[in-house]
Amino acid sequence: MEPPTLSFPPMPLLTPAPAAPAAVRRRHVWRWIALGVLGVFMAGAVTVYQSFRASDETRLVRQTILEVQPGGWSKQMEFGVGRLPVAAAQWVLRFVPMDPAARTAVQSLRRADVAIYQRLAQSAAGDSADLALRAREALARRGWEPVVAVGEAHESVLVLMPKAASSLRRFNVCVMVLDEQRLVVASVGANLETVMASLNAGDLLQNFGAL
Amino acid sequence: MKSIARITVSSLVALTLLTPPLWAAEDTAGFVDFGKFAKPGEGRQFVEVNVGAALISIAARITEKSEPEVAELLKGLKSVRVNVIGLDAANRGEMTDKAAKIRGELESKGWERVVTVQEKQQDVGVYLKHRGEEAIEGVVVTVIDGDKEAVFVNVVGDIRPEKLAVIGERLNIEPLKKAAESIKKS
Repeated sequence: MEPPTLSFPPMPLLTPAPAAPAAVRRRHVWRWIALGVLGVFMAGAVTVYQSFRASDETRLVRQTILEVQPGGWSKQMEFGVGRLPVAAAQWVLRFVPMDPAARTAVQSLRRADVAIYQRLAQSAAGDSADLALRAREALARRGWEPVVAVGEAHESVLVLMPKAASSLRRFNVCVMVLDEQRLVVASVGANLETVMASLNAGDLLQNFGAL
Repeated sequence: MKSIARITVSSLVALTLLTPPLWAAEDTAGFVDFGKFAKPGEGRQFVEVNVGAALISIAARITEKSEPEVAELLKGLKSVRVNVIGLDAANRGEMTDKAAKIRGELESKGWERVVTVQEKQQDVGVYLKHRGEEAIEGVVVTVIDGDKEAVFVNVVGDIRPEKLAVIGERLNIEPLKKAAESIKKS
């Protein structure tokens, strides 16, 4: 009588798993491609949104004014163009016939934004000098200092620049105009070396000093 | 590791010493703090101009080729500050007292009084802070102009008072031009 033979099924670890069908592999690849496209689209959407938002300093002025007079202001306009749309516009405008001074101005621009807020009728006229002072203090905490401040009780004009060293290449300025009816905030970043190369230096200094 | 730390510390020290434009004008001897000014009342205007080292160096670069002597003048400056306050019956006394207080403090800190004029309705004071025999560290001008306005000017840097008009002209700072004219007249 022969001894019983033992047979064992092959151990799973030693046996390679059967390959997934080709259709399943294609689904996995397409899933990753879809996720990648979605990620790029989301990043692009965020970049575009960020590129057309008002600058930090403009939004800070708005926030400060609204904190002092909540519900007292309505936004008429708030629009900004960041590096990406400015660069795109500069590239397109290369092929458009333009006045040389206008072309220089466009080529020197790095970013720009403007915001206009209307005082609501039901809010108190308030003290523009006090509001301007609050906005100035808020911007000072963010590193902006006033270069020029002009005003009286109901009207104020502030021109501010970053405390950090500015240069012709990285020139940033924020202008705030506040009166009984309206608040206008505009902020610009520019490369003035481009402007210097083409404009008369005396004209530039007069315009610079006129700030 | 120690050599990396030593190199890092040395680099930071060198960077601090080699970047004078980043030094605050407030740390220099020619700087004068005028204190706070009360916010303007009804019908009164105020003007404040504060041109720092960065902006001055930009202006110097702009004028370098066309007006090199003006550029040299600007390069010697660290800051230009002007405060103009409209006067009325409510604040004239306060501004006159403020001007007197500032002048007293300047004299006690070794500033030289070069011009003092009190005539008609004008009260003009010009003070210089010297560094050694030749150089000037700062200029202060205080003007109480009758019923109109009070002007306080502080220019930090190496500048003669007679050159203030040039600075006011080149930087297009109207109140500084007016203050310089007051000095010329006095």
